Amino acid sequence: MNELEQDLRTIGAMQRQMLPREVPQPSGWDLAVHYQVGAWPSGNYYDFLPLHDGRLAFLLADASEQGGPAAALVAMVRVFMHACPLASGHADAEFCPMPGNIVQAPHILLANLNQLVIENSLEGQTMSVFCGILSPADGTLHFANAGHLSPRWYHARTGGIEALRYAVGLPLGLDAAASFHHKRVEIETGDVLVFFTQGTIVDSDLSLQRLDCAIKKNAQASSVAIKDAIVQSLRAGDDDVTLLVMRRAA
Amino acid sequence: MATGAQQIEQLGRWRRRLLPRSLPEVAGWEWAVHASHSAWPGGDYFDVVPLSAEQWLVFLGDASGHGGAAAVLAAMARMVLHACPLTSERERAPFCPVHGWSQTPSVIMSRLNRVLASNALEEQFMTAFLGQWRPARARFDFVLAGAAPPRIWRQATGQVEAATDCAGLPLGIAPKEVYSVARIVLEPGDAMVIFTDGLVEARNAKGQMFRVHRVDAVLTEQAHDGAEAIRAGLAESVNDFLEGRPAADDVSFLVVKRWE
Repeated sequence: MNELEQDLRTIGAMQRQMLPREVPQPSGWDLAVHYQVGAWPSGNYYDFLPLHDGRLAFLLADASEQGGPAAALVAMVRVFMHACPLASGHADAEFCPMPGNIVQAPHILLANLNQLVIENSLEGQTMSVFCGILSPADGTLHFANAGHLSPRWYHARTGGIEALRYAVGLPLGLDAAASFHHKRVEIETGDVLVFFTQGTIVDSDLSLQRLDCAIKKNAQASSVAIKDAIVQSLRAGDDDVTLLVMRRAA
Repeated sequence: MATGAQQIEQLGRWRRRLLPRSLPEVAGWEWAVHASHSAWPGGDYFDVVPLSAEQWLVFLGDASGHGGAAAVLAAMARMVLHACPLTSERERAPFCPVHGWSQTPSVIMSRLNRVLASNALEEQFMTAFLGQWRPARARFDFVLAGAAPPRIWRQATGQVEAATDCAGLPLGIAPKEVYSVARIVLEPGDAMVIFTDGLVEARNAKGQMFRVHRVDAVLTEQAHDGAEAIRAGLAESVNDFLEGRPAADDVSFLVVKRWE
């Protein structure tokens, strides 16, 4: 193995180390994740940050391109999310006076991340991020979206699927003055949310139809069944795929 | 799609872009910096972050390994220093209400250590110098994580001495490591070199290392002429020692001279 391959492998190992080791399963919810990346270090990133009050903060992100610079950007965002009490919801009493039971709203977090990406990344690097805070007990999802693909939202009541198109702003890294909006929606019993990265729908419209089809067929089963059905429908491609399925159990 | 080699080249470019664009300009003080990256970029990372009007954080780190993985480690360290108002002058309102004060060097180093320990691979680490520079008091309060203590030339004696070696473990190894602070006071005329291993461990064709006594020799010879003279002298001395061959590792050092 040459030095370069070894280096890229080490970066890949660092990335795996930084991913959540398990998928949280808040009471009354059923979550599943699929993360599939190629030989290159990936720009795909997801994270869960369970808060003390039972809420679950989560991120799904996709850095422009792949490889070393994308890996550096992902590492910076991950380190920030976990090290800052206002992002992670966990105090670091030795270092910071923030108590750890306050987390910033998703759109304020994204605006801050936008500044950090602009100040610290290579020129031209961008990152799309969906940032949500889920209250499992009442089904409220509070979220903001920095240029990320709109998640699919299956409504159990009607059997229909809509794109969660609210509160979409620019990807991070494009404009220091960008502002971000936020939105709260209520996810009802039996509803399903599917978050995904670009690699999931490389061939656009057709993929989206297949995605919806896989969701509808398996909505009553489990998030794992939905995830598996979507993964099966994927064409073998070079792109990294990250899928996050959240189902409010009936 | 960029090739692997291009990606590593991009990371090298990223590191150059993030080097401080200017060094602190304070009357009576002179700074110079040398950062030559080996062909396969090493893990050196240097930064000067304003903490407040009259204080700077000076950081020189050396991440284990080479290439992209070392650059990713440096990216993490950079994020810790730059993203938080407790480690940089920059306010982060409305995200964060904290402003107007900063953490101490030992607390900052401990935090860096915890962050690297929980995000890096087991075999990865970073040696580092972290100092809080207060020119009004001619003072550096500093901590070391596995790095060699800086060399100081004293005008009063004409001799070079090592700063107190208070080194804790390199960053990323033991999450609970405590870093104790030592202090350097530079008197008028004094000069100091802060360096990474790449300087003293640069090897020539015969397998000899540059070693610290050669640093001291240049420092003694050039100290009267200031920081830039010391920087140029050291760079030339390393280059002569290597007989023009490129160094295997990054060679980075910072020089500071107090004129008055």
